[in-house]
This record gives sequence, structure tokens and C-alpha cells, in this order.
Amino acid sequence: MSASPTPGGPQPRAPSIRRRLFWLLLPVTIVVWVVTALNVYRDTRNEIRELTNAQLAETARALLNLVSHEYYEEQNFRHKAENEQVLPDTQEVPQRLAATLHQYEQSLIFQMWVDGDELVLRSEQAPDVRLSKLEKGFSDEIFGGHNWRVFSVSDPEHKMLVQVAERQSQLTELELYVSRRILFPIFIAIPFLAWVIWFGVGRAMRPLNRLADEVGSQDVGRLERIAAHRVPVEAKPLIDALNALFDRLQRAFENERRFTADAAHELRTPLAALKTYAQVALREPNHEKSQRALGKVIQGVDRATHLVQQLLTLARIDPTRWEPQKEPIDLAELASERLAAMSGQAIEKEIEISLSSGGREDVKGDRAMLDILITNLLGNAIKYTPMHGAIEVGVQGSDHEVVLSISDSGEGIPEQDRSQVFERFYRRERERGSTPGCGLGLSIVHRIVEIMGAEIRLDESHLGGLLVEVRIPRCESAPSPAKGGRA
Amino acid sequence: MRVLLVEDDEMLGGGLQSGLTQDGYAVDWVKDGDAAELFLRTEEYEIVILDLGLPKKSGLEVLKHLRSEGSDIPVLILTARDSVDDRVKGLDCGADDYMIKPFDLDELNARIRALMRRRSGRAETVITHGELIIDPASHTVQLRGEPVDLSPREFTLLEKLLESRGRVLSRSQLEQSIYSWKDEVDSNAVEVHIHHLRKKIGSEMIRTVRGVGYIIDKAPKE
Repeated sequence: MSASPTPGGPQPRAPSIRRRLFWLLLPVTIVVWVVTALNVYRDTRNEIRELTNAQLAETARALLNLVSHEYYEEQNFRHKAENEQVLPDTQEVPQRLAATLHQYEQSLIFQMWVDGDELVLRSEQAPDVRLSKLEKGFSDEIFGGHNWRVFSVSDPEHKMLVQVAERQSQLTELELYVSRRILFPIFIAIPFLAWVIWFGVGRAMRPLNRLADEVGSQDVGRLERIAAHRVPVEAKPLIDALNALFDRLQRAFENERRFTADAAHELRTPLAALKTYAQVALREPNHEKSQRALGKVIQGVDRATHLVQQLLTLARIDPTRWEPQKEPIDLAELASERLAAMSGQAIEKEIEISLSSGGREDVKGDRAMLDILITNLLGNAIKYTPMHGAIEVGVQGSDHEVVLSISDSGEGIPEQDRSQVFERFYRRERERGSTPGCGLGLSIVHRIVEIMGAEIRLDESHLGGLLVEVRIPRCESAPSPAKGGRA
Repeated sequence: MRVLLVEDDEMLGGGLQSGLTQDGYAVDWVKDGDAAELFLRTEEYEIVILDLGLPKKSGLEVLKHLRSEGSDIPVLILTARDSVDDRVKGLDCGADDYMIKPFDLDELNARIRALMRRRSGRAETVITHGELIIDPASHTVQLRGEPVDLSPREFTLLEKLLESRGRVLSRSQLEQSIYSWKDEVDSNAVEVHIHHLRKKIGSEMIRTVRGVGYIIDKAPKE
């Protein structure tokens, strides 16, 4: 069984910018803070260690200098004293040394060795075994249950070795002290930070809520652009897009409204005619006359039906919903089909009608629309061509387009009127009243031409009447291989 | 009664002409603004029924021009434009009434009668002259309480004479009110109708003014 969403199941939570920012900002802030703290901790520890090392080394060297000097003098003194049999106490720390060791007295110890095995001097806490085996440099040792950092320095001239050690625990205390100052505030700051982010983001989102209110309060019938001066910069693209949409919708509404008004207006007259003739027929005592009036009623219904049909066609040719068919359409074949279907009307008027085409001419488009286009143009040609006239239909292809041309021997359309004939419900004065029609045929043709990306041109035909030329883009892709091979 | 119908739609115009003719009006039908002006200049009409969306010259232009020339002929606008603005504009341009398509033929007739009544300055819907009562709405005539059967043209002729009581109407004036310009009119048509009228309602009421025309006196003869 495939996992399909159950209708009663929990709805997935809608993404929230606030929640997302919150869960992004808070951990990132904490991570950055902790990393910074760790860095500071490490740097501080290194810094302290270096400092300690330097201090140890310095102390050791100072001690060595002092002591070797002291020792030298003492040796001299001892040479004299040996003669006098007086020996100094080896445990005695000279006063000057004690002064240098005041600070970390508890944790700082030293030893002084002569000739490698004779401990001549040591601090109070120092053991009487060598602190480190090394003669020179740093080492880490353990004794008395503590870690010690030992620095050894020797004076080969006097065969003297000084070792100074510092207890490591002293270092850790320092580190902890420094770290606590940095890490501790984080734990107090996190809840506060969370609060600030949550409400800060919410506050920053407030203009969006206002925007939503403004969009929500729009009257569908009267869409107004949203003033962009009070919205945040980040929302500006959204506003621009919305405004552009509003403009388009407004235009579409306007168009729709005008169309409905026009349509209602255009329907009123045929309806008025219907009603008038129906009433005339009702009141007419003369049978023949009332029959004639009823005949007019039928005619009126036909006319109104045609108008409604055309209105529906126009409404259905919706540019927003149109998609060209994938299959190429053979315009030559379609034209000949339509011509055959409409030849009856032409024969009635004894119009000579002919089609010239050079075989298959594929165009891109919609079969139903092309059908309406050809029917309307051909219908017009037949309507406006007098008895015994002529109509020539041509389908000629070139590299990029196929030209459909319809020439008639009617009266044609004067140049100054040609731009207006595509307008909805436009009927030229000459034809008003005299020729049946509703003024929508060419509007429909024009809309189809627009949608298909074609072009239409009106001119004088060589037959003396009107020439309509429609240039339709050729089918871009070659016929699909499956069919193309056999075509 | 002579009516100028200005309507560019072939079918509606035809229907209106038939309908109004049934009611005894003499209807001249033109299909554009220019023709309307030409007919208004050359012919006499009691009322104009005017469409607004006309070729060559719009109905409103025709109306404005008519009023600017000082004509007070009743004008009834008949149009598909139904907005209040359009109606206000039409009436402000000098129209006397305004009807929106599709309309009722009977209502159109009633409105035409109302306009006629107003024009003649009477309040009653029927015209009374002594013992003669004529009702333009029902096209009925009563003489001393008895119905009189008149043809539409006879009725129109009588109505016209009664509407302009005390004034002499020429033969051509009377002729124009019962025939449209297309009708073939015999030279003595009016005389024939008057003759028939006199037979039906008595010979004293309509007086002949020799060489001028006909008159119904203001005060009925006792």
C-alpha cells in the first residue's frame, strides 16, 4: 500500500519564518559563543603556560646567576674557612632569594645541585631527590601526588644545576578562573537571547502582518496598488509583484466588465426587436400580417442565437488558458475542409470560390481555433461578396510561416476603417442594418491571431474587394519521428 | 399622428414601424442621424422616437441640434444604454422620455399618448367635446354614450382636430398626420376620411373652412 495522506491525520506544520529564524539564530549564536569561549580558553591556557614557562626559566636563570655567584664566593670563603674549620649551613636560603620566591611560595620549589649529585640548596618544600633528570629545559614530573612543571638550567663552568618547578594545579586554577568569566555568562544569556530572538523576529515580521491586512482588505472589484513607502525593503519585491498582479487583474476585470456591458447592450436590440414583433403578431387581426410578424420573430431568434454563439466563442478564446497543440496542423487541409463545408452558402449566391495551395502546410496552433478563424473569414467573404462574385483562398508556406489569404470581389474596406474593424461590436456604417451580423466575427479572428502569435493584414484584393492575409508561425519542431517517417 | 422613428437596426425598426402603424400612427422610419435631421427639417412630426447609437450622427447630437433650433417637439429616447448617467444625460439634452430596450410596445404607446396629452395641455386621459368622448388609450369613441366604430385613420384625424380645437388645420397638415411619406395618398384622401367621420359622428362638429381646411370649434355646439 502506498502511503497516502490520511484526511484525518495531523497536518504538517506550515513553515514559519519566526520559528525558522529562532532555531537558526539561537543554536548558531550558542555555537559561535562556545567556539569563541573555547578559543579564548585555549589561548589563555597557552598564554598562561608560556608565561609560567618564561617565569620558571627566568627564575631558574636568576637563581643560577645569584647562586653561582654566591657559591663562588662561598667556595672562596670555604677555602678560607676550611682552614678555619667553619662550614656554612647548606640549608640556609639567602635572604635575597627568598624575596624572589614570595608569590607562588607554596607551589614553587627549587633545587640547586653542584657537581651533579650534591644538593647545595633547596626551597623548603622541595624534595631532596633530583626534580628532573634533565640538565636543561622543561619537563613534566610527578612527585608528592602533584604534577610539576620543571625547568632545569646548568652552569657547566661551575658544574652547577638549578631546577625550578611549579605545581601544575596552580595552572588549572588560573585557567578555570579565566574560563568561568567567559563561559558562565553564556548560561545566563541563553534564555535571554532566546527571548530576544523570538520577540525580535516577531517584531520584525510585524510589517508583513500589516501588509497582509492591507492585501486582505482589498476589494476584488476595485484593486488598489499597495503604497510601497511603509513596507520593509525585504518585502518590496513581493509588493512589486503584488502590485503588478493587481494591475493585471484590474485590467482583466475592466475588460471583463466592458465586455459584459457591451454584450448586454448588443443583446438588448435583438431582444427588443423580438418582443416588438411578437407583440405586433399578437395584436394583428390580419392572419397574413401576423404570420409575417411571427416569421420575423423566428429571424430575430436566429440572430440573437448567432450573437450569443459569437459571444461565447469570444469568451472561450481565453489567452490565459490557451496552449498550442503539440501536433502540427495542416492548414491547407483545414482550409479545404472549411471551404467544402461552406460552399453551400457560396453556391446560393453563385459565387465562384477557389483554393490554391502547395500541399501540406503545417502550422503551430489549435485546430478548433484555426477552424473558427477560417470559418469567420470565409463567412465574411461570402457575406460581403455580391451575387456572381468571386472568392480566392490561398495557403502558401515559407520558411517560418504559412500565409492564409482570402480575397473577395466585394466592396472591400476603405483604408481609414481597417484599423477599427477588429474592435468588438464595431460595424461599419455602410453595413449596419443592411447586412446581418453582430460585429464580433473579426474581433474573434483578431483574438485568435493574437493568441497564436500570428499576424493579420487587410488590403485591397486583386479581385477588387478585400484581401485578408493571416501569417501563422510554422510548426517549430519537425513532425514527431513516429509519424514523420511515414508522412 | 405622424411619428419620426430613428432606429438603425433593421429588425427593430421594422417591428416598431409595424407596431406603431397598428396603433394608427403614420410612421416615417430613418436609419441614421443625418437622415433624421433632414426629415425633421422638411416634415412635420408630432413625436420623435430616437435611438442613441446611430451611424453618421449620434442620437444625442440630433437631439441637441433639434433643441438648439428651438423645436419643442416631444422626443422619446429608445436605447440599449441603461445606466442612470446615460438616462440623465439623455433627459438633460432635451429628451421628454427615455425607454430602455427591450421595451413593451403597449408601454411605448402609453408613453407616446402621455407625451401627446402633456403637449396639448390637458390633464384628463380622455378628450371630451360636448357629447363626444374619445379615449386615445383604447382608441374608442363614444357619442351620447353609444360607441362609435372608427377606422384608425379616422380616429387619428378626429383626435388631431380635437387636440387643436379652435384652430384651422390645412388639408396637408391633416394628411401628414395620417400618412407617412412612403404611403401613396390619393389627392382627396382627407376629404374621404372627413366625409366618413361626419357620417359617424354628425356633420355639424367638423366645419369646412373653404380654401383653408377643417376646424372643430372650441366650444361644442348645443
